[in-house]
Amino acid sequence: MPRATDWRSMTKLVPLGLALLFAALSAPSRAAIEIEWGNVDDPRLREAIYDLNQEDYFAGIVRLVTNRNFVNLGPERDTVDLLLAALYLGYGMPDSAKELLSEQLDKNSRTDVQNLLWLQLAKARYQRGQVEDAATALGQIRGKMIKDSEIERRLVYAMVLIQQNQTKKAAEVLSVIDLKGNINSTAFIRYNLAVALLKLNRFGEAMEQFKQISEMNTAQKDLLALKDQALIAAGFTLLRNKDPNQAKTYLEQVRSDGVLNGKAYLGLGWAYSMMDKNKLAIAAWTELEKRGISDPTALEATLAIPYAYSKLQAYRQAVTIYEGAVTKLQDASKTLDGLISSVKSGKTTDVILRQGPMTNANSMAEYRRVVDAEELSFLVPVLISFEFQEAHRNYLDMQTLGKKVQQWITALERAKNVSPSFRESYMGRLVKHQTEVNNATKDLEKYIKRLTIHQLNVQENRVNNYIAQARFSMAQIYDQAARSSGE
Amino acid sequence: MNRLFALFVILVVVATPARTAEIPLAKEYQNLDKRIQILKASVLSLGQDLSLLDKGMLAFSGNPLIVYLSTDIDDAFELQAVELEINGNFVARQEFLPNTLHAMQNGGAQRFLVKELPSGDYEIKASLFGKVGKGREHRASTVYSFAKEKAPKTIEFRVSNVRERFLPELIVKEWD
Repeated sequence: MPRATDWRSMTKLVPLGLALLFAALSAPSRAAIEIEWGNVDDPRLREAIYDLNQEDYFAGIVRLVTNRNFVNLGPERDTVDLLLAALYLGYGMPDSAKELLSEQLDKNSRTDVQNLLWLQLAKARYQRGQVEDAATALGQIRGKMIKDSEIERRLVYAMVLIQQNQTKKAAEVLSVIDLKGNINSTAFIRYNLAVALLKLNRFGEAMEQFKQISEMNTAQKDLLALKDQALIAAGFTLLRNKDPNQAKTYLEQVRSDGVLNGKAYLGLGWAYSMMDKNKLAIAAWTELEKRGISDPTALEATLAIPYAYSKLQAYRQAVTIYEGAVTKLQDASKTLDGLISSVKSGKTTDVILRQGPMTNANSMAEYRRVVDAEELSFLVPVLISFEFQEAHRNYLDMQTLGKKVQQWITALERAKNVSPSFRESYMGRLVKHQTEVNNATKDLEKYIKRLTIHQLNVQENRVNNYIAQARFSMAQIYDQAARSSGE
Repeated sequence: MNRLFALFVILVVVATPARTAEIPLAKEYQNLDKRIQILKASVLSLGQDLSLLDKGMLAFSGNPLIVYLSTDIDDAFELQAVELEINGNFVARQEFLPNTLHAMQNGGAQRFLVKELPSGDYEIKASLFGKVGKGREHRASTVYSFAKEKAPKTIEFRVSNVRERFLPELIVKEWD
């Protein structure tokens, strides 16, 4: 018998649908920081709130620091530092934010805002893989936060503990989360909770959350997408727990026009396969396979179909389809080879630097205009990744900074009422900074190139592994046929 | 619940199960990011020193009049534009896009005008244009007199509902 291709390993390929859901739902890594600032009187401080809301961090920081130095802001002085900390966080400068927040620790002004900023800092640290620093930031939060923020805090803390292999403590942190209220308003947090519970192997509780989300009645687009996501997560969790009947009921509810329907077809095929309904499995996978290799779930289906035929003991058909699958997978491997070369040569790197991360349907449509569909499907995992979003954001920041420094150089050259010593001193510093900004920009380009190549290599290894699996399965069929004819 | 955060969690939990270990080139990026943070701080500091050279920083290079605009009205009033006149001469007009309006409605004050004025007595007139109710045009003006000395002058116009009249007006306040 051919070796069963394990669906768990197959689903490691990031499915395009799932990837796009993340892309559609995910926020840029440095999205606007939503803080309720309450009563702030001075318009020069409310200007900083305006800059925060507009995500105009650089100008906001320069203006606020200058205001702090030149204007008597009286009793609102502490608010200035908190606003600055928020601007630094927005501008990707968590170290500077931490310094300011630490200075506020022994003051009792706006503790609620301080707590929110520590939480934001913890998230920034966690996103950068600085788990210990994230834990330290969380430890600075004083008292209980307002309800939703308290839940956020517990979730981040649980994730930090999971990373530190303190699963028991993580479970305790999650167990006290109290989710009351309308399902629609708690759906996102329920989903996060369910995923965290799964990581702690608390299957029953996780499934209860998925179930509640799947029963949600909504017409809201983001909630519908989340509902599909929950259905998929529940379905695949049940498959992993060898409960194909239940899995099927979840997977069948995924919207046929949603971005996750490919993933649903893939899961349905495995559910049927586990129930020994191989013809139905073939039907589900064939529907998926028609999409071609531009959809990674279809790539997975190419290998699953002959496996189902072999289970039906239709070995001749299985071999023929395996051969076709190998050809398709080899095509995918060639596409990946070409793409890697293109990234190395700088051609594709230039495109992704220009286009930026794939964060929503618009950016996806823009990419579709300039990148071949097959190549795009392999680029999606890097385009939606936090690492790329963060590096690209810094890349844009460096470009803006470079222009700013050049403006200052020009202004200094033209300035009339400036002493020669001032001009000389600052010109030297400006030129030095310009060089450093240019070097940082080049290093970011190199990093993004390496990140992309790394991700493409991972995918190519997987595709090559699939090819090896397909050949191994064919060899097993031939071997069995030879033994049968010899008997 | 901050939905963006919610999705951040989904991403990090689902997409990167063993985060630190799985991030490719993580250490390299952490070092690069540290370097960029230091560079940003250094350029920002330079920017504060050089604010005299920057047109946008005129506020600190002389003794200008700075006018801020803010609002405490939500979507009930569709603010479309504000115009400023000083001593009967038009000086500025601001049209509002949804995102700028949103930034003001969430507690922000927008720097509307920075203008060097010689010492003397002035009259500033602010006019707002917008729509109330089911699209009915609304316009209101406020005139304010002030003495400009050899020091910066900060004035704020706030688009606000005056309780007795139920229609948006511009309320003016002078700051030290």
